[in-house]
Amino acid sequence: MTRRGMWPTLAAFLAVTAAVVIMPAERSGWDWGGVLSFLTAFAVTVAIYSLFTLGLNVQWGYAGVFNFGVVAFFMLGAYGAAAFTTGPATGGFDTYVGGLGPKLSPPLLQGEEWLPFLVGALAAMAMCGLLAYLLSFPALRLREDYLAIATIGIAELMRNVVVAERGLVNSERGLKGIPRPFYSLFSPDDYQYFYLLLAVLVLALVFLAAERALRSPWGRVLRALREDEIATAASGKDVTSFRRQAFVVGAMIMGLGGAVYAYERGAVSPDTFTHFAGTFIFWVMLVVGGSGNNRGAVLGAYIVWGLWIISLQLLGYPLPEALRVRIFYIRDLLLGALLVLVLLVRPQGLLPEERRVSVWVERLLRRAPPERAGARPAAGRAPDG
Amino acid sequence: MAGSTSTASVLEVRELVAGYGEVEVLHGVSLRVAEGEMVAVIGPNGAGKSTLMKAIVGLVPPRAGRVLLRGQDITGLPAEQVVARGVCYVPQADNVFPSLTVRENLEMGAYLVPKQARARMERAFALFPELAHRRHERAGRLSGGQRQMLALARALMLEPQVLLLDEPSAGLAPRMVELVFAKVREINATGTAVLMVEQNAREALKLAHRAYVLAMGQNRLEGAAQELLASPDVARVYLGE
Amino acid sequence: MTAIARARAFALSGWQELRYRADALGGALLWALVLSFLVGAAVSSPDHFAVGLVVGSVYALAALGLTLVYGVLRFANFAHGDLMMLGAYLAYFVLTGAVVGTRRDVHLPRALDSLPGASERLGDLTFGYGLLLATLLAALALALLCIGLDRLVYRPLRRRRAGVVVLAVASLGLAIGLRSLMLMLWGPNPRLYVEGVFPARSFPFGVLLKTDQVFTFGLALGLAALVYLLLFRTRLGKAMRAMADNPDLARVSGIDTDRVTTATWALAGALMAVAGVLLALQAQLNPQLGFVVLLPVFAGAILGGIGNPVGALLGAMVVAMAQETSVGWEIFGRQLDPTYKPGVAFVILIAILLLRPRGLLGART
Repeated sequence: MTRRGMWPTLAAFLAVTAAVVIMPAERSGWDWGGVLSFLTAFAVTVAIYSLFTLGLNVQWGYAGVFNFGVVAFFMLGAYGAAAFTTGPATGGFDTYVGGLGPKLSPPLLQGEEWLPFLVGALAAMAMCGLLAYLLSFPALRLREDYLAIATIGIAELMRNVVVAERGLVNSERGLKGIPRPFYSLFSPDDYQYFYLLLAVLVLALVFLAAERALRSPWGRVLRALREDEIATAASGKDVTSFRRQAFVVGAMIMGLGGAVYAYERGAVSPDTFTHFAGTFIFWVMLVVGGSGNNRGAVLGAYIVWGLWIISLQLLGYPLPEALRVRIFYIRDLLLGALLVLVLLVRPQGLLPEERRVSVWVERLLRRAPPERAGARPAAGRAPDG
Repeated sequence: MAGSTSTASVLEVRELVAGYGEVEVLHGVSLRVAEGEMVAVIGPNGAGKSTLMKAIVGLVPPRAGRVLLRGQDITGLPAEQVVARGVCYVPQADNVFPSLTVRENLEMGAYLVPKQARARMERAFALFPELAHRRHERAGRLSGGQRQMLALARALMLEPQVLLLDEPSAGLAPRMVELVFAKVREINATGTAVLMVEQNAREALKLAHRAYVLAMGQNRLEGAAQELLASPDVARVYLGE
Repeated sequence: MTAIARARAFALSGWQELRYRADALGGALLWALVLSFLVGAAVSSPDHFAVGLVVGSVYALAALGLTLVYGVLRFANFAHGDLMMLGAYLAYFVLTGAVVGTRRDVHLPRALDSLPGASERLGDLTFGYGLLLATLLAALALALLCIGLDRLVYRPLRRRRAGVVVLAVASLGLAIGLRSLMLMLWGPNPRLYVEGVFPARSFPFGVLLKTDQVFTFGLALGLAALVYLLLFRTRLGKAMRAMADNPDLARVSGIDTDRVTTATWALAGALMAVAGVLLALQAQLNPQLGFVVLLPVFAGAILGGIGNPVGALLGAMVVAMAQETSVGWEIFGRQLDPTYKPGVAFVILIAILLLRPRGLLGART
């Protein structure tokens, strides 16, 4: 990618940042404390959604695994994590399984601030991984689009189960009062800053792990089979098995995202898990940001969620009534159009995939004497595998 | 004698360059096929033989060079237009429509001349009697040899000026190979020029008037088929002796 | 070494043989399941069976369009359901001239409704010739729209040799865009072609059906028969099937694949519009319905063998029947909750993918 090719990326980033900062500031009468609080909430959501785009990137960007049911993993992760940490059901209006709550904390460890959440998050990851693993058997060894249809189906079924099985997770009313990690240590006003830190930390860990995996031999095989499945199979790699691994790992990241989401909101309810807000938006984020590139996945989450926030902010301005009632439909129309437009005009996204060969090659080159270091760009352009 | 430079060429390929994506397969291949001539292109695996065929017929866009049909430039035309001008092509594999009946396959062969379809179909059935009995059967149910016959018949429906055959003997039992080659000879005897790519170099050289040896995407040798067959170099490298 | 290689080859051929047997066995099992299910449903609850036939005929039209596009262009069009609903809304629009306004609907000064006698009920049906005319116009409009979308979106992607999955992602974007457009123009509240309550008629075996439902069944099957004739008896239809079999071979046979693509979209678009109108006629017009039908329609097309038009009809019928009769099923001593209707389609889908991915009538690959 030349420097000239990067100007749309920079322009999009600056425009969204400016709008996200200036609009709430202007509306609140330049109350910067309020703006900071607003921006924190914005950043937390971007960090959580980045987990989903990173998970989707491992599936789609690395391996070409076609998951159209991200919302299924989102839901399973959020509900799974919530069911582990919420206190037991009180009866009456609340009926759900799980509800282990403080029981998870062993007496000597003083772990109730962190242990239930850790267990909840790990359980959410495990459940999502298991679901992906099971689903991969009927759907992953066939044509790519069969998995897309099957994942839409599992998302549909999962919503059915949540709503129809009244005693499972409290049906339409959802789970409320989910405890939040380390909540008692902060004042309610300060807690959001702490949670931002926590979410960014989780995101950073996942990001580094994903980057590491991408440049490992494993990541190279995945990308090779995405580019040319037949050639990769011919070189003796079990294509389905690698695809399955990417699908499972991506699903686990999504499960973690669901857990971080549930702990942030403190409540989950089935009507928030729509195909639009739970699947489609992550696809737009990843494709706009640049599939195959982890930084692109995060940037896409930032820009698309920024656009989303801008549409909400617009409602605070005097708008014609005809526009006001339709603003969300217009936003959705624009997001759909944006996805198609990016695929047509800039299929690589804002941050294109980097064609690096491997960490090992780079390390060797770094150690190499200066005259050999000149070979780096050439190594960077070499095809995969 | 067929093949002398004085005869008009039906098909002429000059310095053709083609490939897929970042990979260039043909690095400048030239050949010519004269009126009524049968020309073979032989060479090892990966020499670019199939790509040559696809580039001539327009399935792979050529990057440089020219393809001339009776002196007219047809380089880079879309496949359906190349075919309309009389260059018909039988791919190596997947060369019939498996879910269509034999009859429908032939109808598709005559897609551009629907009025003549019936008459030409009768002629095809006369040339390939075993297809006539199976005209209502789906092509996917035919045996390998029968499919090859159907593929030939389909390509002949447009009465081509030159017929391109990509490894007509591939994957067939020896008895079937003989039969297919006999049919190819028969087709050529009616005056249709044939350009054939073959892995089975010995048989191809016996059948053809002239031949080209292709390697690494370039011409290596050319000459009368008999001479190449007798040449010790060719024998050693390409005939496996 | 050679012994190991030979053992490996032997094991591989054994595996191949097993796969082959499993495919045949899966096929037999699937057919047996389907047939016994159909007979069982017809005997145990003829009422649901009849409704299943009606819904199935609508799904069948939808699946026919889907499988045509999948066969000829080789990608899963996730905008199919939303295009269907757009067809239904377009028919509504030319019939009533209504779009949603700020407080209440805004009407065009003239619409098909205002033609003399256009809303007079045809016999026992709930609607007049106005709706038939509107459906025809919507079919035309949607055919043109599909061709337009192909030129604007899908063809450039194909030219760039983007994979079929990229086309499918693009179709998801279109699906969302179309649904938002419908919400913008006609609002989120359900609409009806004809207001009012109409009684159902009694048929033998305790079957209650509205005349509209009988009409739906007849029209859908009639159209399916026409499509069959088109595909198997006309030069264009055969060219479509040829292109679905092998696009490159179609091109070197002189078939203009661009024209066949256009024709396929036109046909699929018209089918989508009619299927959309018939679907809305069963209950109501609702922008969300497009996504709801996507899963059963896909399941039906895959059950029949994707790309196979006859299979699409059969598969869609079976899926609709299963969804309709599932309301009466008892599982673990409890009646199945009606919310599970989409779940039923999913279970069928997984069963086919496990037993026989090529479906009932699909070609071996």
